[in-house]
Amino acid sequence: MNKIMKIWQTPIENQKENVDMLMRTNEITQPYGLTLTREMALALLEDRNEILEKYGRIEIDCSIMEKIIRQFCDSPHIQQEDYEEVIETLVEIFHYMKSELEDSITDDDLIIFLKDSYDGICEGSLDLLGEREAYKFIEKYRRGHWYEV
Amino acid sequence: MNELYYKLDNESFNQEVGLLLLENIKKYTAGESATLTVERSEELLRAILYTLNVYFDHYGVAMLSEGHLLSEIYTRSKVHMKSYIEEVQALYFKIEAKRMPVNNQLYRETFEMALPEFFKKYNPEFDAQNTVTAIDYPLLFDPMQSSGIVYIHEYLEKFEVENEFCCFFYVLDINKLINRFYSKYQCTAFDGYFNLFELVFRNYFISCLSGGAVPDLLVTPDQCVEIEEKLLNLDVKAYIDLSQKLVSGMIEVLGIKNCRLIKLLYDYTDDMLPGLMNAVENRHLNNFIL
Repeated sequence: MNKIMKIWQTPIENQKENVDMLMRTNEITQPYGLTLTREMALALLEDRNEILEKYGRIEIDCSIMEKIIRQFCDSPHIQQEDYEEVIETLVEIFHYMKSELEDSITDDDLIIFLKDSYDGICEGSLDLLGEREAYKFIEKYRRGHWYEV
Repeated sequence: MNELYYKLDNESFNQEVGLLLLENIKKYTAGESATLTVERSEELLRAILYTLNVYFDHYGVAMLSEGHLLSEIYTRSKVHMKSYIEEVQALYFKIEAKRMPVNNQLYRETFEMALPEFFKKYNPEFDAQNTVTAIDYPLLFDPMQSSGIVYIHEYLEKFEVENEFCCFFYVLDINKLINRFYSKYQCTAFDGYFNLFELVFRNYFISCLSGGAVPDLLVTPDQCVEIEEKLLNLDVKAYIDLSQKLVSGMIEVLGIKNCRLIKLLYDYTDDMLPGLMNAVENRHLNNFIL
């Protein structure tokens, strides 16, 4: 097993802390009708680990998911029924783009782009966001024209 | 150097290193990202272990078993690394002041461009294990198993010894020798690839064999034939005896006191002997030298 993964599997990244961190987002998402249960939080963290493995990445905590939740909770396109699935997909698109952009973009800038596109041009379509818009953004960003996006 | 890397199978050591890595990742991303690639984080991990290793190489590993926190040792390691880099840079400046001026691009670029670039670019915090520059001028015995600042240190130390030997001869003679190299191997100062010590030592060795009162670096074809005749029927033991005697004579004539240089002369002579014997046997001694 990869040494780095071995280190990461020691309790540096505390699972309980991460679940608590996600649960605390309920305070701001509940007014929008969105609530995470402990089971949902655990499932999201498990899915995230698979995503990280898929893209060959690590996270130092779960602040990315937390930021995504905070940023997206007021979106008119997210309902409680698909809340978990939307967050999971957004986390995957985030890591896909982060890898494609070779970490040259900050977490906050990328999340803002995702939110603007999701609510705007994609009108709540994760397929459009993860394919067409993500591709366009990556191309423009690589050419240094990301501000046009 | 990789000893600590394999210690990562130990769980408590893992945890302590993991916490150091966490701090380093936060510094590396400057708080702007909570994620990075496995490859990059591995590099950051290697940088931590490298820094610790440099410290342990200097002070020993006793602190590890004395119950000191790894974070405390790492803090000391970073301080040590800083002064170590300064020490290596001082060695570089010292060498630059007495380096043999030689008309060869690879040689000049290594010392005038690659090494300054190393000290400019080297990042001990996030990339301590990487040499970050191309050191093209070949040493006789390159410290290839090392990397980062340790490689540069060993490279400079070895070069200093090689250069000390070359400095016993006139620059003019050395440049004549190099020009012979260029014409013999049909190359120029721009693409000629050689180790200066090797060129100088081989010629001086053969010149000493010719027995002139004041040996110089340039050997004539007639002298080559004469030496071939002299060596042709020697067995291995006789070769070894003769070369040892010759090297000890060189040390005395040149007044060499540096133990590292004396060792290099004997070591290189041992390495060189099979080639010399082969050249004599095939009557190609003129190809063995310049």
